[in-house]
Amino acid sequence: MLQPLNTLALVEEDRPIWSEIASVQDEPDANEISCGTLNALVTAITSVKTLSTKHTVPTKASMKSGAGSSRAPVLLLLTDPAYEKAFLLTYQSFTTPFTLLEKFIQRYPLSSLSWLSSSSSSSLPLLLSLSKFP
Amino acid sequence: MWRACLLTYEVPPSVSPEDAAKVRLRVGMVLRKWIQEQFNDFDSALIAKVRE
Repeated sequence: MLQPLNTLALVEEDRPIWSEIASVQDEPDANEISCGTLNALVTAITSVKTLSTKHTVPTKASMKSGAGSSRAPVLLLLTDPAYEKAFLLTYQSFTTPFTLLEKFIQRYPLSSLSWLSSSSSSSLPLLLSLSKFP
Repeated sequence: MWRACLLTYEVPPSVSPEDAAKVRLRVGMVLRKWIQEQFNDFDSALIAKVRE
């Protein structure tokens, strides 16, 4: 039996963004996207595959001495402006600004939460009791 | 319910802290571009959410 379209959209939007990603190496490349779920599109626009550490710049010490032989790796940010522009111009046809912001917040990794979510943590009973508050 | 909320923001263990920092940088950059180029999308509720 087919579900109503709005029900399907709600299910897709409610799915946590990190539940669809096993590792950053599995993230899609923005150049290959023709369609996808909202989570996949948000993942693509914030993909870290566009970051490279292959490029280097001269270090301060080598610039002072004039030798120029010592170089340090640098993060070169290679974004896809065309995809970003297309996404930001068209996202309102398939989602709302509020939902998109929620997805960006979900996408923002909070490593400090790891100690909260571990089942062996002694703070878990406290968290469970806090969850009973209205 | 609280645990479900935490799991929503939990990064898989396969994502290293270095990669997590890169993702944070990318999210910040896209948010900045969104605000700079499409500020009309932001109503008062959305601005309040960003400030949170």
